[in-house]
Amino acid sequence: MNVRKSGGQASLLRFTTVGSVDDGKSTLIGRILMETNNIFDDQLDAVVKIAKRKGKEEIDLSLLTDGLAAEREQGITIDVAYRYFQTSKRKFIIADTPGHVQYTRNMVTGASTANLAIILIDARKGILEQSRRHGFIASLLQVSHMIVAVNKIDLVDYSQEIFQSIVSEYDEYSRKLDIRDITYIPVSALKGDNVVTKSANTPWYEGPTVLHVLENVHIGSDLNLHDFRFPVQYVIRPDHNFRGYAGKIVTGRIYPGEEIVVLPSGLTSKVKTITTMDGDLAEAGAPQSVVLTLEDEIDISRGDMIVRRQNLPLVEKKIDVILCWMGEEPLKIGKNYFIKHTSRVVNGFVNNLVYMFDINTLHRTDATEHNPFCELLKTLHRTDVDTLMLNEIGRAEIEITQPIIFDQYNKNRETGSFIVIDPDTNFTVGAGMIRGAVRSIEETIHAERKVADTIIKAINITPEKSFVSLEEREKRNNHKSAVVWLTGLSGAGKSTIAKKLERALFSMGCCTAALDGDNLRHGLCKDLGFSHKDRNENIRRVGEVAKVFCEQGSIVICTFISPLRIQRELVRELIPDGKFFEVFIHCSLKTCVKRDPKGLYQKAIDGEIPDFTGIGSPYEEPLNPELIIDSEHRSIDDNLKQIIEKLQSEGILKG
Amino acid sequence: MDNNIPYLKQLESESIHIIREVVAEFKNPVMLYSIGKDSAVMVRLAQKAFFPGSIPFPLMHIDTGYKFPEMIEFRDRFVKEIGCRLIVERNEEWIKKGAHPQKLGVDKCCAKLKTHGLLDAIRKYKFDAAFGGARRDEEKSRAKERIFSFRDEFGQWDPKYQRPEVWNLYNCRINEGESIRVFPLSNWTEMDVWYYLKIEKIPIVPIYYAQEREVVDRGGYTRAIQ
Repeated sequence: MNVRKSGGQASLLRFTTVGSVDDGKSTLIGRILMETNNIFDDQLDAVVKIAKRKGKEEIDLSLLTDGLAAEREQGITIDVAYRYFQTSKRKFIIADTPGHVQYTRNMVTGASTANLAIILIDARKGILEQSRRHGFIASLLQVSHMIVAVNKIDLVDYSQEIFQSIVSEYDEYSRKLDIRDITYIPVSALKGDNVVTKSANTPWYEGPTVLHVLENVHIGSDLNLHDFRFPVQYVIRPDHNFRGYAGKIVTGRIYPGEEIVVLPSGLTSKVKTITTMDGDLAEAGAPQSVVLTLEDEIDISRGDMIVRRQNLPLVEKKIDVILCWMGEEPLKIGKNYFIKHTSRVVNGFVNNLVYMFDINTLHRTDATEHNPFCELLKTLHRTDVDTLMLNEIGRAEIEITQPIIFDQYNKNRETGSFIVIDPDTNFTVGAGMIRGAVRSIEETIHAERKVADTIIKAINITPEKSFVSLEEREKRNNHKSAVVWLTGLSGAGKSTIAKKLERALFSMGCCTAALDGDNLRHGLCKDLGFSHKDRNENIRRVGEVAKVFCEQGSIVICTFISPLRIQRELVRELIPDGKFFEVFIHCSLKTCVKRDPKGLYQKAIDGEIPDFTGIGSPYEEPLNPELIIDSEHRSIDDNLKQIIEKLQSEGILKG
Repeated sequence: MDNNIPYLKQLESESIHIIREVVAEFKNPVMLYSIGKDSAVMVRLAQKAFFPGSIPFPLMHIDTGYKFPEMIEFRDRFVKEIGCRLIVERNEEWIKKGAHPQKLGVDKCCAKLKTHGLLDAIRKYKFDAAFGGARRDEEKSRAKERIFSFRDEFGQWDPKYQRPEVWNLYNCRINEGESIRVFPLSNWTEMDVWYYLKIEKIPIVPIYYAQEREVVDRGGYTRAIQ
């Protein structure tokens, strides 16, 4: 056998073809295969004979690829079919996805490994809903390149107008999609126009043929070369002298001598060798399968990920995902599933289904902000649901028992994807793409505080101690310091009580300080807005200021709605035990709305103030406050008396 | 930097990834070895996957009794050279009954000797995964075959119950008694196999070269006539 010298050296392009039964998909593939000499003579002869027998002029190219009739007889289901061909420039793997049955499951499968998608549109029918759906799924799976083949152009008399109108309509739609590169080509798969050779029938078309795009589309930059990610598949230990970590570099490059970190353990070392049977390598990059040895003996096992020290993925237990459901059994929220991600299999469950995409009624609203991966999701029609059925796609939050090491799917297809396995059937029931971590407000605050703590430690700040101790101050003041935290709905009476309380304490000779939302927001916190994050930061700063006053011996009266328990808990953590008094000013929302001293409730009800506590966002009543004050049914003097008595009984004030 | 690594290297890497996944996730895998060219490529890939260690699973030859003696000789020498354990299984019952391709027809004979032989061996040794050298380009019906092909406890292949294969994430979970056929060469074409044998200088049974095949020059490359 004559083996050509360049054999095996060409590059590889994987593409997927999508279209419905009559769009001419099989004919297009047949045409490409035939004109690139990838069909055996006997196969071709058979097809020619069939044409002759039926008295047809043209041969049915679809017979070269369509095994449909035979498959039906054999009982093989409609499924993704893989086909292979080669030209002198490239090798091609086609994932041929049928457009009608099991549509989503098949297209997601085909698109998951594709560099390019060919979407067929029948020139006579124009853009159908399904043409949009095809584009949407290709975009969701982050297929970088797309050919929109406007097929059967011969049947519309090679009309430039028809082609142009399809192009402009699809182009308008595709702006919402995250596909960088779309080529529109007028073709006739049947007659061969612009498939492999340029057609004389479309002199108005100056673009490339389908094959030209397939052979020349630049796919080198689709590979993520920056983020070195090496999921450990298997540990190789033939003897005591060798310990290597086998895996595929899914993205990025690595060199011997580079510093690495192993996740999730965080252990660090340096790459000693990149070992292969063909010899040690001076460098290696995706998608090579290699064995890494390290300078240090550290504990590494399957499922760990080796990465570069300066370039880390995320490690989380709660993830925000797009989930394509592929199981016959609908998704069950809360049910335990196996999640296979890189070389890790973990237990997890869907704890929240945020919404489902209605891919049958894709709305064509215009996107304003350009943030593709997110923007696309924002503009689609969504439906609130509590399950996903076969072939449905939704956005969900998944909790996993062990942290997984990932990147966002739109940054890294390899580390951002996972499959879901039903432990009852062992069937692959879902394919997921990770958008990021899910964090509750509590976790965000804790995470931020952790970062702040790390920075403080890093730059070696040790708090300066005052020469005058708190005990000395308290002795001279003749009372102890404390923080009285008044919380409750707007209009509950916090400010009124605070003012009276401060006056009363001052009259008793106490050293006092008063902090409220209004005075701090004009100064210390004037850079903050009213987002969740800013509100939390506002409370954090207040807590810190209160702490300083408290350390100087004052009784600090703080007046803040502080609607969330976690906010108040975090302040409590700052203040020494026994000095923090959470005072819940209780008053029904109805009464507060009626009082509405600043007219804010009315504005909130009118929709002018979003997220106003009690109207647009919740108020979490304290679970164990030091004191509950009823400002609705009791007089202000009673309220005051109650607080002072509490401070006396707790030893802050002398009785 | 050339980011487009040659496609054969890419196919090689993907196959190695598949072989390692199986060894990492299954308890008792085996690689079917037919002494043919596809088997030769598959064994080389397995060697590469575990280098500098040796192949951590046995090879199994389902002996139909109809191989040429020089093939058996080649097989035994080859296995010794690479330091791999070899299991030879013969379906004695059918060989005794005189199953012969000319008598039963190739398909039926193959079914009795190879398929049944394989199923019996899988049950006997309790293998949970068996690597096979089949390729999707071999015939139309194989175009939809998975890389990880699920078999129930009776060794049955149900096309309606195959698992979707998304990205390069392979579902390796099975119940006791069930098994998986794994085809690491799924995405290779016959030409790829020949190229690889040549580039890697992999020895194969000389019988392959005993007969010239008719070829045609197809616009710059050579195709065999089927």
